[in-house]
Amino acid sequence: MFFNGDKMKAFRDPIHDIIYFDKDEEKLLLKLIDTKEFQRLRHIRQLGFSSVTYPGATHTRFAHSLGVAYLMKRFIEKLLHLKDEIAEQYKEELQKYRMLALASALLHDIGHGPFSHALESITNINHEDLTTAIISGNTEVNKLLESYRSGFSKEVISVIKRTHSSQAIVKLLSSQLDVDRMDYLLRDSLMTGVSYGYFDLEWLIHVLRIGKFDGRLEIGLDLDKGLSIAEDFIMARYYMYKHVYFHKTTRSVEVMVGNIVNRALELHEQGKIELKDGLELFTYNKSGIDFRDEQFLSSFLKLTDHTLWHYISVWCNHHDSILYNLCQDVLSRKLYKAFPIENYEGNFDMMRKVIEIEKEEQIDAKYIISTDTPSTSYYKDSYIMQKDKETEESSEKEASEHIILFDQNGTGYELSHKSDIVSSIRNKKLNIKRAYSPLKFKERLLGGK
Amino acid sequence: MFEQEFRLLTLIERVGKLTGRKKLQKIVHLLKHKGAPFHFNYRYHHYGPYSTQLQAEMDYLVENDLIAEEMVQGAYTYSLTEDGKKLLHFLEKERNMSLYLNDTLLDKLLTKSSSFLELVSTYVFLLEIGYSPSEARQKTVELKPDLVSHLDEALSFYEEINHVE
Repeated sequence: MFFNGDKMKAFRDPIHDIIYFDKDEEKLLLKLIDTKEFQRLRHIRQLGFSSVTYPGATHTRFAHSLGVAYLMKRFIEKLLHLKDEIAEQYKEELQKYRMLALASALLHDIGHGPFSHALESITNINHEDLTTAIISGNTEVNKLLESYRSGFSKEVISVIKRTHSSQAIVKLLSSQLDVDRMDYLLRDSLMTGVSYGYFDLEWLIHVLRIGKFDGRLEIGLDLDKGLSIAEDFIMARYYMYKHVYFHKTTRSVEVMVGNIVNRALELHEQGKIELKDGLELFTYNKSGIDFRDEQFLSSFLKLTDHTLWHYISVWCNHHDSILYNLCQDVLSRKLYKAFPIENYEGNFDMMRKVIEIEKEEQIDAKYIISTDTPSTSYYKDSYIMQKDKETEESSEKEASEHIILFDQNGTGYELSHKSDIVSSIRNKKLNIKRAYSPLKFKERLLGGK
Repeated sequence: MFEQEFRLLTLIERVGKLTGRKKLQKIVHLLKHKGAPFHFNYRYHHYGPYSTQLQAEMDYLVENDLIAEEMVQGAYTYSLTEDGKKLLHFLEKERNMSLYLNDTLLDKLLTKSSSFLELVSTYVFLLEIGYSPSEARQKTVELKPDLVSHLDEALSFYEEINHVE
């Protein structure tokens, strides 16, 4: 492929080598990258606390978002060059919505807050809702999108929220075979140094197909040439999930920082701590503020990972022992200890011990023990975690996850029906159940005195 | 500890036997819309708003024998197992956990079919992502052409549940 260097803005990237955007045709993307809302993503780490486990994992949502937009460009380019009859039907649609797809890909994570997913369960503000609020609110991003075309911001939201009429664009951004997942798997794998998350992206793009399955459009892979790369892709997801996204040490820090925020909120309610510099947003859950509110959004946009690390450091000197112990322990990496929990029957005994400790120590149970299961983790892989569902009656059908392989005639097959490896992974659930506890309570909970 | 499990176990116990994955998804979505503390993130899928988090949580509860899942006449049905009841009652009694579910609202939702709730939930989802009522109506027609004959009824039902305190 020939690039006219003068026409192209280039970003060096560890995954895609050089990410190019056309300075004229893709000017909108370059302007969006320069907005303060997008630049904020430089200060939000892609993997939250994973660097505690994998020191190299300090990459940001900024780099990932550029990568997703670039991959979207490459995927569309590939689909536009397919020669088969079905692909021909979608070429006009892909060309028409190309810029919409690229802008949506670039902005899909713009609502991420500090430590990515880790604090969403405490604030109950989902990053996708904040993404919608930033794109539709009084922001530089919104102004640029609307100056590109009136109503364009709403179109971007509809792609991200999957209600847009072009299912091709929607599924390129969000499906079991989407550009978001491809970029983060490769990026997270490289930056953590965990090489089994790698898969052959170039071959995957080479065997990319578009077609219909169960009456609906799907982005899939070529059955003959794509089966092995599809298996590789699933194995990469499986290993990354098991060893990186659900790593016990990373999850331990997430639990502890969650407790820091919980404790700060409790002290705030008692008037013993001031939450400022954007941290007041953590009271959202109880204050009932609309997160689309302009002031709320403006405070949120000032909040990054750095703000929280700063306060964790400041609170090391707070007079509340629960708060300062947690902060000191996180900073010196003295983490909660993880232990497996077998079944709920055994948990009753453990819970009774928690109640005893609660009374003796006068502290809430969440500072004694936290449970962790795949369902409580924000990193979910619904394809490898969901067993293939039996066919439901048409009126009762609900979403199921598919990766489709298309044969020469355009007939689609679900990957797990063609691959024993994938079938085996899907039907053997990752049923990891753990609890986390400070060392001083762990032994007692596990049967000691 | 076990707060997430507790909420779903309470809902299933309250309903007794819940028929259909779709019905479960849409009921939780509409309860959440009305302020019930279910924190599942929803995205739009072919059959309307759907939460992979909710599905994962249900699968987990089934896997651990707290909720029984059966396929009955083309629909998955969900009910509490004995272990599920035991855990729920333990959490209520020993941990003083409680969950307020609006009985009037829940009863109204339970009387409706899965497809009808799919339509209502789709309309509500569009409102939630910033569509005006008229835009949401128009978009629902585009997204749910097969169900459009019930749209007026669905919108009246939405108004009705919106007034349930």
